[in-house]
Amino acid sequence: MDKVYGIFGVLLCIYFWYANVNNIRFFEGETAGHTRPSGPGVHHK
Amino acid sequence: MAGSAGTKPAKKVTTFSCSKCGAPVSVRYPGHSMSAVCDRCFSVIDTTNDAFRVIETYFKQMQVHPRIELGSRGELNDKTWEVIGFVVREDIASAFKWEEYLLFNPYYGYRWLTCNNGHWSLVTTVKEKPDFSSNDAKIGDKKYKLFYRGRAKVFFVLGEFYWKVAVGEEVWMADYIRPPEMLSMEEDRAQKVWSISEYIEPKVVQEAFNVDDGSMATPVGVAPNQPSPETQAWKKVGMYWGIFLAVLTALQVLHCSTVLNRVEYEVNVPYMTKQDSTLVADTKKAESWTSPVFEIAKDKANVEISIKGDVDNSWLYVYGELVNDDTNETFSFERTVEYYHGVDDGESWSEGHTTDRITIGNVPGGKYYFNLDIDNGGAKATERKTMYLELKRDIAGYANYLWCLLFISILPICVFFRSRATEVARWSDSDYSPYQSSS
Amino acid sequence: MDLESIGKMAELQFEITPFQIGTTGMYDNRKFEIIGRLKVAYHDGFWNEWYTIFGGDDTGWLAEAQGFLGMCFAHNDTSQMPSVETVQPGKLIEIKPNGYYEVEDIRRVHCIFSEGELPMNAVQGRRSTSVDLAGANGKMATIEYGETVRVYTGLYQEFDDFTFQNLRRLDGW
Repeated sequence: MDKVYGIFGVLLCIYFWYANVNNIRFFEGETAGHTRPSGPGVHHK
Repeated sequence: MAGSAGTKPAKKVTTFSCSKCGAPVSVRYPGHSMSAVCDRCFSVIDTTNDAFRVIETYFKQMQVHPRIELGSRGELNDKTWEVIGFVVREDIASAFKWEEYLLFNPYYGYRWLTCNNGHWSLVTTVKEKPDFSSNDAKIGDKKYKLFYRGRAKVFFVLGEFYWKVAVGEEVWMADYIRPPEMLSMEEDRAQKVWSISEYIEPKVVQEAFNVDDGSMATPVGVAPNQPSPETQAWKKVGMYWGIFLAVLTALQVLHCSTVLNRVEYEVNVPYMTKQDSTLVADTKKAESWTSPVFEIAKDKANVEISIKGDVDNSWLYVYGELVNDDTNETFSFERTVEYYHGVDDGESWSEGHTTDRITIGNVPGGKYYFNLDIDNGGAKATERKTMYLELKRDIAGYANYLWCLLFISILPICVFFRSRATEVARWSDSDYSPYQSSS
Repeated sequence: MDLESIGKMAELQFEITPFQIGTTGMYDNRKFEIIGRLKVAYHDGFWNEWYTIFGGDDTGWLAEAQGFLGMCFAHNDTSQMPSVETVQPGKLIEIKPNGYYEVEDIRRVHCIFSEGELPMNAVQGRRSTSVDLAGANGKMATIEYGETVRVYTGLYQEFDDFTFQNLRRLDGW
């Protein structure tokens, strides 16, 4: 298990570095919430 | 060195009559053994004495059967051992009993095989004295943790021994653990003896000495020195985890320090506020605005576009296009800022924000301009306002880093909790458990 | 306890020591040969002191007690040794230049059997007090309080590390 984890970790580190250099975002997509006005929501205390 | 596993050697033994009951008592190693037990009346006899003086008599009703037959031989750690003595000992405080088998090999001397709650250990006496610091004992680089301290007495004996054994004999004991090893101390008035026990799988003992299934006990719980695969996995995985966290953090620091992170364009865009209370943004009714051309540096990097609206219980919607002046490549985006606040039942509340931002990845460098469609609603009056638009080139991203931290941590956290569960079980019998407050 | 009777009983008929005169072994990368032996008795048992000769004129003692083997050599400086009355188990004694040793046990001993070649001072029947000491990293020492004080220092070593040859044949082993 530790070996599998070690390989996984090394690959993740390499991919992280590669993504940083090449300007790749993990799970590229619209993640920043709504883009339409929603008005004042139901207010909870 | 002859003697195959589990066999009884055909060998001359010295026999004398028990001074108490007259039954024949055999001594296999008279030059070495100082006392022997009559297996009929359980008297302990001094074999160094020509008259075979009885050291003490004993009561038959307390008889305990050894799991491994006395006289049988087995191979452990590539050496043949003969079982010559059997002792049951008892912790005086708890009356907990365990078994000890004395092993002998004329070349390698004595060892003990202990059976405690069904768990077995091979014990070797050591001459080395440990160093102490608080509740730890150290031999060389090995650190052992205090697990047990108490008094024990001999409850039952059978066979022969290299000292004059006596039932009721009391010693002070201490066990320090470092699975699969345990460092034990035994002290009586005359001397302090240290030994190291190494955990042995019950199956290994059973096969070595040909013990039938019925005589073996099912191991209960986690033994003090039982190796835990979970803890071993945690030690490695935990170390890797630390390394990976450090590497990822270093890469992130490197990333943050090498990005351009520069404002390439900023502008205040005028628009008219609308009192319209509708919450539907409509690009057809929106005001359009186009920026002058500006330069974006670097070949390929992200851009962060920020919008700040002068909204107060109102909303501002922006549909934008970042257009490359040379290639017409277009990156479109939509953002809304809205901010509401008020007082309900005497409590003030607010929600929303006046600013919002979006990051667009992989934008080639070059000449660009913005096309904006701006819609808004909810304003108290129709008036002229401005919204602030900013484009920042090559900002540091944190999302990748956080994702990596998550991915790299799932397994170690699971392994840690499994290891901890085993260690808690191991230490549950100890007064010195690091997992509970001393109460 | 009758020490003479121990001697009688323990004589060679019960001997299961793997060593004999003529056994050779290695210690500290030097070959030695066993040329003599003293069997020593104390209240709770016996041990063997095998007199060994190394190439040249060096001699040493191979102590065989309860499965432990130690090779030790006479230590010349005995002036700093405490008097026998002050020695107790657990006490630390400095033997220069080797360092500190802890007293393991103190025994009244009596030589009950001897064979082969032995130094002049080792005679059968001699009584003395023997103090065993253990130091760091397998170091051991013995102080013998007889007519004079003698100090021996050496090392415990595993049986296999001695790479013995010409051992005694043991029935059944």
